[in-house]
Amino acid sequence: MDDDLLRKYLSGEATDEEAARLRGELERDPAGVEALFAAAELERDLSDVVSKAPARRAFRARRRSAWPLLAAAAALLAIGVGVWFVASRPTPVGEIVRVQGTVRFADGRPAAPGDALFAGQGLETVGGRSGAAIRFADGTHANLNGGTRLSRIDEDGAGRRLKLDTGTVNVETKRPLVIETPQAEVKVLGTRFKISAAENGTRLEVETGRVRLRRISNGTGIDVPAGHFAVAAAGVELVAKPIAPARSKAADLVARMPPKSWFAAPDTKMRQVVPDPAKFPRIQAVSGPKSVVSSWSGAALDSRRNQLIVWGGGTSSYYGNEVYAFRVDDLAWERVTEPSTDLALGQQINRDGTPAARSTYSGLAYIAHADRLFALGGVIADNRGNTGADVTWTFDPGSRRWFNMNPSGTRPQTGAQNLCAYDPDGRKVWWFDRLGLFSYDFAANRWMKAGEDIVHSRTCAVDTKRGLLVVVGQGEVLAYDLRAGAPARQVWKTRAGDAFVAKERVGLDYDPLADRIVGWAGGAVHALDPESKVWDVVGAPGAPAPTVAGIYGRWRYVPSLGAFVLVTDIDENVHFFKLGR
Amino acid sequence: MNARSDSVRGPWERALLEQNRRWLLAYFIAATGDAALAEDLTHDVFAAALKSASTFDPSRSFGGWLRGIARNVLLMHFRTARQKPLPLGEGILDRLDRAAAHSEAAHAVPGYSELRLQVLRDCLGTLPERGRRVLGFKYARKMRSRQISDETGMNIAAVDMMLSRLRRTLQDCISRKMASVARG
Repeated sequence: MDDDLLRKYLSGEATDEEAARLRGELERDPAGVEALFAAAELERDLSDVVSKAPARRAFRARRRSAWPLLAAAAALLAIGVGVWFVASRPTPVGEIVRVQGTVRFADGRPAAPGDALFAGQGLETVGGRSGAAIRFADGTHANLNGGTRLSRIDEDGAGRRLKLDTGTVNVETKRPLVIETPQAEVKVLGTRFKISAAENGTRLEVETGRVRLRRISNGTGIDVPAGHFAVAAAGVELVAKPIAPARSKAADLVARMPPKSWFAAPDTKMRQVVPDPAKFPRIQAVSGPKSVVSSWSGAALDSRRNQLIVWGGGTSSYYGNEVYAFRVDDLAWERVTEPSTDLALGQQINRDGTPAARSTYSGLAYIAHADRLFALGGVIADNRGNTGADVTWTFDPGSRRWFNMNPSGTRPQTGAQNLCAYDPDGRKVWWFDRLGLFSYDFAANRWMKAGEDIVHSRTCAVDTKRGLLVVVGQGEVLAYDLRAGAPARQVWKTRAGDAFVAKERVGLDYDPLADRIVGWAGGAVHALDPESKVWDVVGAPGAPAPTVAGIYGRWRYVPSLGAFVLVTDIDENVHFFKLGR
Repeated sequence: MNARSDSVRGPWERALLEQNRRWLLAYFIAATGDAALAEDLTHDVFAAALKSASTFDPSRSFGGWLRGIARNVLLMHFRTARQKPLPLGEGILDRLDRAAAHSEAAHAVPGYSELRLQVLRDCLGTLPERGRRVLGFKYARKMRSRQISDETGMNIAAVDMMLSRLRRTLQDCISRKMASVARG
């Protein structure tokens, strides 16, 4: 049996000659009719399965008039002729994972995190300070800025279609997607981009990949490559132009800072994005979201998005496991995920599969090559035994999802006071605890033990110029050569920084511009020259009060600014420090 | 479908109709090569069955009775409404009838339809994304090969070849999985 001929015939695309040819084949081949029937069954089933709106629902109007007859007669028919239009149950296409300010569905109902989103629905963020994030079933993420109206979301077997009336949506997708605005249609094959629609035009900015933009008014279209933008508007030529490297707010401000100075970014208190305690009473515990920072917790810099990811709390202080990010370029906080409401207190993993809130200490790192936040150890919420957070987690900032990595290899012992740092050259996270030095390889998803040195309650950073893991605290400065086969401990005798070196749980990071290991624990900034081993003490005015329980990873170097970002309290503005060359 | 008629029937009656609808649909798709027409003709069969319910002899095969009505509906449509012969001729109908009877027997097994659809979903899940996308255009958006070609940038011959290959892959996968289920 000719497969192609059969397919054409069943698709209604066969010519008379082709149908005659098929007829001849069927006459010659006695088994051919079975093959034809099997193919017809597949055709029927594909229409049912591939289409979310089965073909039978699109029954022709002229036939509908017969249904009342069927309805009435069926009850009389003992053999049970029933309905073949079984009401279809709508399937959610995605979920609302974050809401900020006023957000509502197209029908006016208020939207909340966890609400399912169905095909045909729309979503609107009301006002400039509002925002929402949608996660689709395949991991595609759409972030709606304030004042955005997505009037309709459709999905079927052929892909997804969004109707953007106005506003801005940031999308990260790996699946085909069409976005329709009043002026344009954008076809995406898997990329990251931003699209803004207004009354008089649509602007598309493509970060990665390639996107097809078609002007609806005349059907003309162009491909917009990565790093380019195009505008669809009346009287504007439809061309792709390079995106001028825009300087962020923070970059402007930091550029104006003199070397060795502090700057407090106004209106950047994290408090403004914490969850409403009235909506989440069960997670408040002893001290509420203030503990995300104040209770022995850290952060890591997501260098891809230029944001400091802050995660903490736990113990008896706070049970909310939500993740926060300070977007450096916008000088704005965002609550990246919602707190879990299905808590399993005292357990590492909540019932919804997310990690329990915890005091994170220095157990956070950003795995740049994989675009994941690494998290291990710490003290989990309501854990009276203080141990046992041994699940290796990563968090994908793009999809805003946690992953329990369940790695192989020799796992470290975990608990409080652990410390870690990511080495971008070796692509590993280095981890110290009370069993020794370990490395985690994300690509292989494997732990390896690399040494017996027991280090805790200190902070470490990677000197990327020399490939050194530098550890500071408790009166010692240690260095480990990560380029050596087996990193061996070197004890550095440093000068002029003894008081700082004696501390525990300081903030520490490497400034490649100044070529210094730079630390802060309140008061003066300390910068260590890895060559001379001398600390430079920079007592600039404007430093905030330190966090009593430690600074950990909330002091991070931001390469795009050439400055450090610092978070000390949710009721304190975010600070920047510029060391300069 | 309207909720009203849905509400007057119990799950048993609904299951019986669904059970017979599926093989009838395949019968008409095979006979006409036109899925939309097959839907209409299936509907006509049930409408005719309801009208003549009193003529049905409960001691005889219900499926056989429906197949008889189906053949009449089919021939009537082509002879009177379309005034043209069946694309594959009337000589094929006896053999199609036998294939439909096999299918009817299979669909009479509780859960068979659901299993079949689940197996298809599983098989679809093994296809590459591009293949699923093309099938989406074909079966969800009801596009013809030329339209799929415009949408994807593939030439029409490549679209046709891909669809044939996908169908063959799915058919093999379904046969394999159903046989595996049958073996337990």
